[in-house]
Amino acid sequence: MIEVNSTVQVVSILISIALVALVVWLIRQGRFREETALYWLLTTGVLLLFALRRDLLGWTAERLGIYYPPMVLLLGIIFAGTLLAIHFSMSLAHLNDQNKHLAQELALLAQRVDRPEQRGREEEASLSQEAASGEEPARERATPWR
Amino acid sequence: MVPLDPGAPRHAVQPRVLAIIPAYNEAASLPAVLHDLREHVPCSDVVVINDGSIDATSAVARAHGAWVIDLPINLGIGGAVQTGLIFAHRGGYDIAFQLDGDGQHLAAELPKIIDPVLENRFDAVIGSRFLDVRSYRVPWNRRLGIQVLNLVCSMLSGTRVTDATSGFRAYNRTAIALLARMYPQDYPEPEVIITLRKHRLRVGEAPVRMQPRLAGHSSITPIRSTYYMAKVTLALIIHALGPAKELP
Repeated sequence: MIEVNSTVQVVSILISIALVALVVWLIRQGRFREETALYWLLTTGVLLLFALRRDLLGWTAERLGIYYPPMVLLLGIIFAGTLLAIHFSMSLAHLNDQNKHLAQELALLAQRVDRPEQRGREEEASLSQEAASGEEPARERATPWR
Repeated sequence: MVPLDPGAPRHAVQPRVLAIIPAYNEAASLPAVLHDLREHVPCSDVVVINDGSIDATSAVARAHGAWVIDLPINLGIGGAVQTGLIFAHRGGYDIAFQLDGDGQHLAAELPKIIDPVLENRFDAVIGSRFLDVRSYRVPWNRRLGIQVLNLVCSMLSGTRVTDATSGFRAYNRTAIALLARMYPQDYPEPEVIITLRKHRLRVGEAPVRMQPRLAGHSSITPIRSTYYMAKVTLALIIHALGPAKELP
């Protein structure tokens, strides 16, 4: 049963609805990846649920042995924020690594293009390595670039 | 193994040696470094990794006959050296050595780090300022930082390290292949030692002389060194905790 009996509840319902709407709009715009979209939908959904049903907050606080019900919300937000921060640091490390690889490959390729005489030596080296390991030399690689 | 003889003509049995010089805004000191290198190790190929410099580093290096790899963005010393090692790996070099573009590493000292690798006594050799030679003067706070790092690095790598932050190093094919694939980025010099030891490679040190920078300024200021030390110690412990990845 939904009871709306205070200004703060009206405000929190409105804010929660606005957040859900923003998330849905961003998903429709394709601004999130699926996993992030799911996370935000879930988080804003839970916020909306607690805004609509304040008694749920009291019930959860009682179950968890928390004296002051709004603390449940605060703890939940801290927990969700921490999870998100960990996820972002992982993504950042991954992106950083990919970025480094791209920059290195780009620089090495540019060097190959600028210095054609280096190419022959590299191919020679890779062919001799293949010959040493008993592999069939790759025909494409033996062909000079044109 | 064939000893590296600067006077010997290049022929088929001569090991292929690559000099990797990471450089960030080192246009002023590079000419002397490259000249020094040509004079003492003429049989090596030289590649300068221009780490997104905003001065004439790239043009100066080219003008002095070095190959140049221009990184489109500044990757830091780790990313730059790794680029050189990828180049060495793909080019099939037997030995790759790294020296700084600021002129503090002396090419005359190179045989001390290259020869033990050529003689197959070690997979990697690090030139140490503090092993025997006492001539190199370092501010006390920085020296303390380096000593703490050496201790941490020695404990984590299980080998005696007297100059963990030295960037004067030589690697053989095995080490090149490993480091081309995985090169630590944050605090590469000490972390590389741990990476090498984790993969059971033989790491040695050789006493070398170094001189203060020719031009420009070091990226590590005295104020930063304490903070740096604490961060690196933590990073090293985290790095040592990580698993050793199998090479294909």
